[in-house]
Amino acid sequence: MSGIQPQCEGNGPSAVEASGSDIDDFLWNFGSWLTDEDEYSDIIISTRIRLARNLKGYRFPNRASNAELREVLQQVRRTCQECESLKNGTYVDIEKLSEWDCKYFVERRLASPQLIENAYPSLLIIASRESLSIMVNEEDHLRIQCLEAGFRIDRAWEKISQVDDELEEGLTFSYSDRFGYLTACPTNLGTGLRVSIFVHLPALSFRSETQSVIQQLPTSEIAVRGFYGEGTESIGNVFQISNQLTLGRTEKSVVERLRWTANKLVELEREARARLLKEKETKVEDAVFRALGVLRHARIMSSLEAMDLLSLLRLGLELGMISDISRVAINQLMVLIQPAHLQKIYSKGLDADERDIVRAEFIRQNLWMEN
Amino acid sequence: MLCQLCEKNPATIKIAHVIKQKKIEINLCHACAEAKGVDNPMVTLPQIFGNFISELLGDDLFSKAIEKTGEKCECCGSTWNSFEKTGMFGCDICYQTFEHDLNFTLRRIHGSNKHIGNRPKSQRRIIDATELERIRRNLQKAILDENFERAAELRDILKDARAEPEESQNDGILR
Ligand SMILES: [Zn+2]
Ligand SMILES: [Zn+2]
Repeated sequence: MSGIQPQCEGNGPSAVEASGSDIDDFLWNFGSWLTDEDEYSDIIISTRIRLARNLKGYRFPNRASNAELREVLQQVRRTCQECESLKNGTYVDIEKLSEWDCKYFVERRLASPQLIENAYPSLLIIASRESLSIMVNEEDHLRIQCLEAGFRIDRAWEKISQVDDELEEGLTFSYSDRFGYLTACPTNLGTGLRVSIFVHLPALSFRSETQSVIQQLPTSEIAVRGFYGEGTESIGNVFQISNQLTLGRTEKSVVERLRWTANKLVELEREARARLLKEKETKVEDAVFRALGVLRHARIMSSLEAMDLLSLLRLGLELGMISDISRVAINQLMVLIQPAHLQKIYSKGLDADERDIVRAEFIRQNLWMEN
Repeated sequence: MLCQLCEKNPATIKIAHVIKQKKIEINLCHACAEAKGVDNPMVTLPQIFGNFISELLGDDLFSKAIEKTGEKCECCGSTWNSFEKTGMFGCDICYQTFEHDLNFTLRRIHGSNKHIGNRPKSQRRIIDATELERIRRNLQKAILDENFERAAELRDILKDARAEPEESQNDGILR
């Protein structure tokens, strides 16, 4: 499956200390979560597992002095550089980044908006083709993340457990027998584990069934996040499902619960797609080709509009209505059209209106279809 | 409707978050949505939702929590009040300082106040025969009490304990 061109000629980020150009290297060297696929990729875009950890003997970032946080940085950096899975990673000093470069990592899903907003002395470590990353001094001293394409939940869990163990060779985590891993916010206490699955539910949305489906989920354990635009069913029809609780549950039972929930959603979305084809084929086809028309010809486009249209395009692709563009390419476009990515692609300062213009241009250039 | 963040521009984007059978909606203008990265549905939003933490945990969680104005964490200076305000503790010692009040709060958040998950590698213990027996007894009891959640967790622990047979150094280690 071909992704979005142009591919950069470099061989990926390998530098230990990131400079401006290393950061730019990420732009076209998509991480594995943006290039790989599995048998669930028609619905599950990606699976992410995150662990929250703190170092014993240091106050949490919200109460620690900057000197203390710098010590944490030093310790973590030293340990990571000894770790098999992290030593060839890219180490990004957040304090030295421009605001747009920070946002760029947020859009790339390697940093959280909070890491940037806190403005603590902090570090971002990226390894294993973006599938492993660590935010140092976000809300907790460490937020370890594993991000995988599709529904590779077992692989993500194995990988992150491995990193967790490796890190412990050089770091002592705050842990109590009673409360488990101690975290700044008690909503992460215990396992510190958050499993998130990003699902694309365009058919359920098209049939206005997402609400009732979500209400069927065990929402005391599972959180669902959707993004709604006014007047439209949702933005991009992408939903994030994640575990709500971290204490009094084993890691395994959390992973299993998410697996069950995701499977359920996949089943319902697949049914909805089949019914959509049977009952409303022309209506869907019309929506899909209208989306394609706008994407190919519009001169001004907000990111919200683009997400909606790309979502319809993805539906059209899954229903076999259009071909000659890959699912991977659509996923990549959904990332590339975000504001900070556009700033990087066009390497100049753009205001929101100018961005809407270059976004439309970028999509026209990259959404080639041969027939 | 005005944007709930800047309270200046008209809100054009609605973010919905369903949790504990409750739907929480936040209305933002395009500029704030973009600034928060919410026009990218694949970015998570702990920050925005963090501000709604009292809603997330149930309206009366914080108001019902016992007032503990006097007590102060010696290590970081946090008080129960500062925790109420920010939803955050300042250090790991806070968990000892406020242990008593936490019992209640944690049960409200998680339905539990006892960790049963992984331990750090250095503290992973080998489950010996006596303890295995104890866990088995607790499992029987949980089943009799119809505490199926607890039973499932104990079954997990037993499964883990047996998953790695004698052969390797991993024998019986509880993960
Ligand atoms: Zn606003
Ligand atoms: Zn404290």
